[in-house]
Amino acid sequence: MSSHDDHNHEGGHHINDPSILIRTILVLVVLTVLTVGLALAERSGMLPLGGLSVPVALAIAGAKATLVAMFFMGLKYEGGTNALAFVAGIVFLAVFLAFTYLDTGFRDVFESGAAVPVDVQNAGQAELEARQQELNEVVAPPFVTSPDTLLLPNAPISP
Amino acid sequence: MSTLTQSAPSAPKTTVYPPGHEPVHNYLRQPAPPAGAKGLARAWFHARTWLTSVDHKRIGIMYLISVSVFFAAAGILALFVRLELFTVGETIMTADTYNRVFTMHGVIMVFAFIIPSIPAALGNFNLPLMIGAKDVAFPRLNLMSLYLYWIGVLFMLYSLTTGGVDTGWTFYTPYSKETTTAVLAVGLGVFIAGFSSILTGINFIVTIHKMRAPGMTWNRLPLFLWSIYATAIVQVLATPVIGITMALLALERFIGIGIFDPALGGDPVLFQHFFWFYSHPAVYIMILPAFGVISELMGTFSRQKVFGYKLVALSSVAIALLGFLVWGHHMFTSGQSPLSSVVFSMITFLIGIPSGIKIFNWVATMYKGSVWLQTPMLYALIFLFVFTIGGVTGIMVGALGVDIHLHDTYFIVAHFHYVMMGGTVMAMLGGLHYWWPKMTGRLYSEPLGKLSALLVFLGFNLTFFIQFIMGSQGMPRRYYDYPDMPWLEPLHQVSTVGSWVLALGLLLVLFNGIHSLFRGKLAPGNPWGAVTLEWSGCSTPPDPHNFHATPLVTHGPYDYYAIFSGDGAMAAGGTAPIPDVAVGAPQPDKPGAETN
Amino acid sequence: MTDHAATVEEPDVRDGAHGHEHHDVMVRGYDGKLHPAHLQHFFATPQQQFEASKLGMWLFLVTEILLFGGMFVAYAIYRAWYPELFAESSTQLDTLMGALNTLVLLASSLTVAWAIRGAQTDNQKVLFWNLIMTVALAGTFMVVKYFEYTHKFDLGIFPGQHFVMPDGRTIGELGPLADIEPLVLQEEDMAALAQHAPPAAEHAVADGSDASEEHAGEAHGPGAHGLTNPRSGIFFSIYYVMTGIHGLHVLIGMVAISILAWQSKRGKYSSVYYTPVENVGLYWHVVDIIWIFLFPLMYLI
Repeated sequence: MSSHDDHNHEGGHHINDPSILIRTILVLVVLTVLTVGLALAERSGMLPLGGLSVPVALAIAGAKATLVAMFFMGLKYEGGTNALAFVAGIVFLAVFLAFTYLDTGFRDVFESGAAVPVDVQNAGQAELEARQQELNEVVAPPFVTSPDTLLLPNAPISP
Repeated sequence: MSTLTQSAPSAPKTTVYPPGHEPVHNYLRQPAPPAGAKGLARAWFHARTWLTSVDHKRIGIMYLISVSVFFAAAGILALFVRLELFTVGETIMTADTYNRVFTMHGVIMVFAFIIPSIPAALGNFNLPLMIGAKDVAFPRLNLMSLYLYWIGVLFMLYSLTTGGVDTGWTFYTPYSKETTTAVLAVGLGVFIAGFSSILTGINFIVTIHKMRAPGMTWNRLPLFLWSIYATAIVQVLATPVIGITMALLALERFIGIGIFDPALGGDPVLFQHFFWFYSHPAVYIMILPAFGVISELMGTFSRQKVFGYKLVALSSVAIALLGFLVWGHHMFTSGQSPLSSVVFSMITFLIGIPSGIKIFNWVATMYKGSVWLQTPMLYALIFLFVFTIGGVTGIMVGALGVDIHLHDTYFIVAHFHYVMMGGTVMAMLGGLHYWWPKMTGRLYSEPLGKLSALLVFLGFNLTFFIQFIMGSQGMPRRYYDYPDMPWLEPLHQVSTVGSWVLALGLLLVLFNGIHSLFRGKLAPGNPWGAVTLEWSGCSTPPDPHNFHATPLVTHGPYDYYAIFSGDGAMAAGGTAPIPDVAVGAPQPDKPGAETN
Repeated sequence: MTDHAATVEEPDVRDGAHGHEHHDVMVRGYDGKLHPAHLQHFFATPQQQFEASKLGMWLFLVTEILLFGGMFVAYAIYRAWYPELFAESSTQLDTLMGALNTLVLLASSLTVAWAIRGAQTDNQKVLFWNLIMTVALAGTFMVVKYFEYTHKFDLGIFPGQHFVMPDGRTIGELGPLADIEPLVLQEEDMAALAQHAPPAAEHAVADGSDASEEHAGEAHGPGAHGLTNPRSGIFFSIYYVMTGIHGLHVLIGMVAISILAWQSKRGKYSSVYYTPVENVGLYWHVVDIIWIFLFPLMYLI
């Protein structure tokens, strides 16, 4: 009945190895010092990383998080289901971010969020303004027109 | 409840069981109250026994009663909404009251009824029974989930004491920041109810992963459980986001953090992203369990294997995962970037594929089967009919151009009522009739059940089909009034009359259920001749510990052929096999159904 | 929960892992067999119970990731919209204090992992003292956080509409920002804003941003932080909400670990049964991981 002597099956009882724990914490401290050093150096102008500073900082953070997950949390010794769950959480967070960014990052693809047809987009500014003017002049169709539209859905709407 | 207890003839016992643990004993039987306890003390004893029970079956029953009460409450609000629209102008309430009434209808229906309805009530009751486990993996967490649900709903109802909320169930900013109504209370309620949903989801995933009986492989998992599993994935992955959204909304109201408030430099559309990242997958929390129930009903009442079992199973998971990629189709007119609208619209069409797979497979299951038109099957057929309409109109409004015209009209209202009410509620009713004998040990009246199904079907379509027409003609949703047009008012009146027919049908269902508790015949062990474990492998109603010996599963969930070998089971005239266990008789304490 | 337990048997002496002696209390269930006392009746084996608990915990951690995920998304979206705002505002955060807190949390992750090792090897002392260390480190984290918060409050750095601008007005008093274009205010916009300011506060902005930057070094009091962008309130909203909810998780973790320490003192955990230690440990590591990301996002870049 007791199975605490088995270490290698799913969800099993892996016993942390002190030397691995110590090595992990050392690497974590080094990475922390490294990322702080890089940030301070960049802020003081010694090391202009430019656009790289964000990816580098995030990569270091990712490496640290992976170390914690792998060795402190024992994901390295875990069965597939637990790891899959954890990874799924991260994947769906990425989905959340990516699809939200698909909106927020691309709102100026068309004029101020208004859905202007592509051919009009490609036309010159003057034409665009003319078309906008035209669109503005169209009287919005009344809320409901007449019983005819119920029977004949395709009947033209009278302004 | 003691009338439900089945008498157990004394069988030769090899083991001495403690009181309450005999082989034939049902989970509804209450222990004897302390001697001398009378009246209130006695009632309190029984209430406490129920409220502190960690038995998944009792928790399922408590969920069932709760969701039914809230369904009735929100349904009555819907009747008021329809009544107000009966005539042009003010009919029974002011515009302000109307806003609060439809908001509360939405909030209670969504968060207090439909999300916990099938998974927490029917799922809780059946999940361990169907996999041959004694309980869910975390019974105390299960009870805590029920309490959290009650507390959450209490907060939602508390808002009524301060006059309700008028934002609609979507709480869109910036209005939800500015309104003086009780957004905080409702938001807190949603937050807490969300935790309940998360705990249920975690519990179900772990139970299905770790607690299956020997032989219950993934390929033998009943399709109801596959869909409960897919639902649980969505519950775990999506619900935390509504939690943080409600927290941010509360902070927005409390201290003006400005993240969603354009006046402070924030972006209200971001709120809609946050909200729909949960609430669109939540739509699949609502409908996926319904798919599962329909799969069970189709298999059992067609007397054969569900066609394309693996595809039906995997399509549930596919819907759950794809459902995370389409939330932007609620926002086509909200000012999100046209690029994302296009992408969301395209992915929305993809959802049609796994949903279509299910519909076709259910129809194929009936093909050449011995279709047995009992009440649960009637509901399944109603589901097929109305859900298909709801699904196809979903594809219509998922099309970007069409939606610009139909957005926020009655067309949308009709569409989601066809999916939610016509889908989930019909499946819930079907499942309720199907498992009613298992839960209560009583048979409901079949003619009354069929009559109520007919009324529900007629009333539902009368109420909502007409709304497709009104919507396509431009009748906006959530409006208190409409113009005095000679044709518009009659349409509203037809819809309102339909809501009365629907209500009558649902009242009949309620009457049938209560009547059966007191006057219904004792249910045989397996009234439908089903071969899934909850029917074939344990007593009716189940024993407190479900199974005395862990069952050994040797066949799939719909292996009617293997079990009945075609003899007698499919007799001419569509009669079901005679239930294998006589009324009130003890169940054989044997593992698995293959011995039946 | 083990309500099938009829009688408590004499403790059955069994070996713990790696030869450490351990007494596991056995009870006889109604099935007539002996079960470990911690085994709940609906599980077949302790192994099944352990795996189920652990999978449940991992799933809970997934919900934690997505809970914080919402705020990470808000951060990313606003950072993409207003990169200068974020670069400018983050200079208000004390990098060294943040780094100190990072190291403190990393150390606490180590001690909690070591505590689990203590339980696994039946070393009650190692278990207990590592749990105590973890609580102490978590307390250190909260103390540092407290000093960071109060320093910002002194400067008038509050979230959202309560953020105090250099002219003494809060952002809520500036009027709707949605009407102000371009999105990031330039000096002339600030000057324009200042014209509508109450007379008493007028001089603060009239000097231009140079003056207020000078003030940042020496002056104290609300508005003396040198930030002129009225959307700074958004950055600090995100900062306070993220670190606040993270801090709440640290507090919850401190309570949980304290309870574990108290129970371990009473000898509840051993190599045979240590599931709560393992699960709270997992939770604690996730709190650490979230800080690992919060730190560079908020303080460094």
